[in-house]
Amino acid sequence: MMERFDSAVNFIAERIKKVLKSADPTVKESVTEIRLRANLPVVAVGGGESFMVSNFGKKTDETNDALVCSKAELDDSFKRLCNFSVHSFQNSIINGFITVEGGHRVGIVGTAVCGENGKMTSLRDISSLNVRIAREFRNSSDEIFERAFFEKISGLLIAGPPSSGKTTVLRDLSRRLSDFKSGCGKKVCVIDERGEIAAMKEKVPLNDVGINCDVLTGYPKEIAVQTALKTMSPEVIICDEISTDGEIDALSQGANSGTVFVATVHAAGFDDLVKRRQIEKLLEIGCFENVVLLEGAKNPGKISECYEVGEIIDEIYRRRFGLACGVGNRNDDCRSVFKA
Amino acid sequence: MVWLAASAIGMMIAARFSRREKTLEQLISFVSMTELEISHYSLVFSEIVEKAANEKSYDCLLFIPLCFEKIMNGTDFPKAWKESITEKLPELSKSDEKKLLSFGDVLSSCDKEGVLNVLSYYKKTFDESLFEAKEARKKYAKLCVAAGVFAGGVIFMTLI
Repeated sequence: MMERFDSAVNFIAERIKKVLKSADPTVKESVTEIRLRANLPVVAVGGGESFMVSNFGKKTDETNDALVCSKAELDDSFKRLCNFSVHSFQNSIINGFITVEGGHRVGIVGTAVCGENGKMTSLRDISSLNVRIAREFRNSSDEIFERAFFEKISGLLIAGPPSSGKTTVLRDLSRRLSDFKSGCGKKVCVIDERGEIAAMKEKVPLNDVGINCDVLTGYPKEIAVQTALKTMSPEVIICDEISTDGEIDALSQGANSGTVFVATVHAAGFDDLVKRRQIEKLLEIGCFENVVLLEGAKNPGKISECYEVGEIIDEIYRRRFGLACGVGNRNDDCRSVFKA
Repeated sequence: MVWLAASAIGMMIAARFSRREKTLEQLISFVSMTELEISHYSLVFSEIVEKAANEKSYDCLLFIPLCFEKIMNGTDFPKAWKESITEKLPELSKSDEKKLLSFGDVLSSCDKEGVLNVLSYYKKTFDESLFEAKEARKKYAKLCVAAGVFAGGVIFMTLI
């Protein structure tokens, strides 16, 4: 746990890094995020709540006691984050994050520089860095396994708000599905677009994603799904954060391939799940049989509820058209009204 | 002995002109290699330095392997770059030395387009310096050797 925390803060400017590394072990174990902002106190997030960090690495409410990150220290941290080669991380910077060794994601925000067509080309005046500490929790997917896979391994969509443990659970699911002795021995392909799931370093995963697992790091999901299906004959494809139409289309191409998909999607709660068109589209492609909704940041990895895809789709039509389609009793007339 | 010593001094001064020319040629080659690695592979600078440190064709740029060693020992790239140039100063003019020293700081903050533009600028100025170095060698190298031999002879004659 401590090593995870220490590896996540390694890139930060010396003075702040020293204080954070010397923080109380209980603080280090509970912290999931660290935020650096120019000329503002360093804020950590743990147990679902935010708190300022003092100059001695403890929690504090007093701004006078708080550890402040200066502009120069933020700039220095950003340069170290890019390994003093900003050009190498240009695309990542435009996407808003860089993944550091250990699979920790550092969010970057500042002032956008846009081209003539309105597309963002660069970022300047970095004002905040948000370090999301990746933790490996073995057996964090036990509950999901028991509830979603008790009959068979089938397509699963894991939904939850930010910091609800979606990636952590996905990582452990990969291990359980692909390991031999303690798992199912399935051929698993992990599509690790942001490098957070497996956290590959010099061809070797730093996180345990299981033995019978192939990792595609940095591939755009559309290309990764195609590549995996054509070349790696996976029994299970695991990917994180499906959000765009292109990604949903890529998954739909694998829908009838016989490969099981396990993916995550952002959803604040059940209401969000049934209201978002993107999720409806995702559920209709036929890749998923079950949806698991996670509780949230206060209980990362804990299941709030488990649904069949049919139940969600029924609820969507019920709310949209006020039609009594019935739980698990999909009426094709509802769908034709919607399409008209 | 005096004659030989004076001739040797003349030859040493002449050799400096050759070394400066060779250093600039290798520096230009290094900048070209960096341009290629960045435009095609977006390599980070520490990886480019590692690659160059293993190349035998940069034997005049002794600061490169030293820079790589410092990076491996945990020194940040811009600091390692400056320190290694200061410790293993290559045979360059003051203005070229100044440009080389600023390489680490300037390039580490630029985006890809910025890096390639700056590298292109460096290459152009080092090219101009190379032209001057070649002219200087042609003009002064033989003169230095001859002057050394002549001075040696004069001193020898004076002593006897």
